[in-house]
Amino acid sequence: MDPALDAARERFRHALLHATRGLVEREVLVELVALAAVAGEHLLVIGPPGTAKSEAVRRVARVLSGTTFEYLLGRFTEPSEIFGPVDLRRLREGVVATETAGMLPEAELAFLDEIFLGSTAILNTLLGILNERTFVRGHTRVSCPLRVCVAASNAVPADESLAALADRFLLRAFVEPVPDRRLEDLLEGGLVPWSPSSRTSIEDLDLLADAAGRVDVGPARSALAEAVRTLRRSGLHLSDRRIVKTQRLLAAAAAIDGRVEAGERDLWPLLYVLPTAEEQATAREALRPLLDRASSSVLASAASGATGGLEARADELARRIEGLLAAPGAEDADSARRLELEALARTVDATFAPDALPAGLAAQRARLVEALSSP
Amino acid sequence: MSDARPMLRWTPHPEPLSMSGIAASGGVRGVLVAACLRRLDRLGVDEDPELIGVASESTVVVLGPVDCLPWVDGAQMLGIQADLPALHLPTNLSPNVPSAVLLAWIGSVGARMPCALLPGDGGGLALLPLDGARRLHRAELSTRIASSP
Repeated sequence: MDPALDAARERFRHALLHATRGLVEREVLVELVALAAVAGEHLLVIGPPGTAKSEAVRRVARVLSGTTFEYLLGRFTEPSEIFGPVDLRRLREGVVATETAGMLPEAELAFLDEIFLGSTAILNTLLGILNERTFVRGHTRVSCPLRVCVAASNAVPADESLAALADRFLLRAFVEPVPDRRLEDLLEGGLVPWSPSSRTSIEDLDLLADAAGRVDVGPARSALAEAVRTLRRSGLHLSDRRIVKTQRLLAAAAAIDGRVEAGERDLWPLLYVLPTAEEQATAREALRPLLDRASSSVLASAASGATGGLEARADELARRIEGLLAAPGAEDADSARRLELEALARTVDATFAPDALPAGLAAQRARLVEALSSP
Repeated sequence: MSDARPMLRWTPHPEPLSMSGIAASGGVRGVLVAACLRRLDRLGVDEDPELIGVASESTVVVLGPVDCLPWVDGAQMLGIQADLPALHLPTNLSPNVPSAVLLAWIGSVGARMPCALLPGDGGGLALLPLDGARRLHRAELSTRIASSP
């Protein structure tokens, strides 16, 4: 028991729940940013423009209250726009130093949109920051406080020269426009202003990252190895480096869920390590029996999206109920709110028979029924 | 409604079906009918443009698009699986017999299709023909509410 860690975890959990409020179909993205941050890894988001990629990342950054650097790269973006300008005073002294204040080398969280449009000079320097958390340019060499870098692009690059950079992003998320059935939710949520009323902090994040570093991944290893063998039998091959680093994701998933050992339950991040949407879809089917018991009570949508298993689904529904009941106006008897609550109740009842309801979901369902019983 | 007791067990559905309707039995029937009436009030119409329903002595079934279906505590959500398109089954429970066997049994008891198959009292089965389902109408729902125990 570590009260400080438990408190940090609880703040982290609430803040993530708050960050997804009003965002439609972007819960997985928010949770993957959080997972990457705790694991000390990076996330590549692939999807068309205008799909709230940056909004999801920005929200995580705001609830974390960290120093953030955000930039939309283009073919003509200069390195100085990302890393900072050359320090002219020191240049007169014959030293090529970079003034990094307020730029990527000093950011704790970074969002780089259209990353693959960056020049070779930018991408090579970026590699060092992502890998070593060190910025090196001219006479400047500084340690970077970067916890997580989220990059976005319209497509996975086919260019081999960009493959090395793409490979540094261990996690991949694929974002599609909101489906037809959720358009009403999109229209409603899109006009609701959001502000970070529930916050966690970089200190909380660091506590969780430290806890992840102490997680014993041993108990999950044979299951992870079996999952990788299953992927290979399905024609899906991950580099050895990605397989090894996946253990950090499993450890982070366990730590976020409050466990000191990783197990089968924490296998779900493996799916998001697959580099293309097609490979993730194939892996979802191939791994279904192995991921059946995988779930997360905090990163519930991401786990459910990976596994499709009932345990993960129960966690996701419990989390959605918690979020909906905590949202402002939940006590109002207004019909839109009621319809939203009823829709969630329908989904719960359609998914689980009463005697098969997991305890956590049963408790949240009881709260939902109570809310619906009030006039 | 016809009852029979073939060797059939229901197990939790590993991949719950998409919703096609809702069924209520016993004391929950009246609650479902009242929920349908509230929907008519909300829409400001006397006849529901989306939902159809049918009732037996013991069960009320309402069918329609998922976003229009009412929710009632204690009711059973229904769905359709791909290989049994005329049979509405519990979304969250799966019968432990092959679909062909299930269809053969339904044929043998002379049930009209489409129909709903639900767990019955005492481990049996409840089969409710749905071919008579019609649009929900305020007057009929009100009458059913008034006559329900």
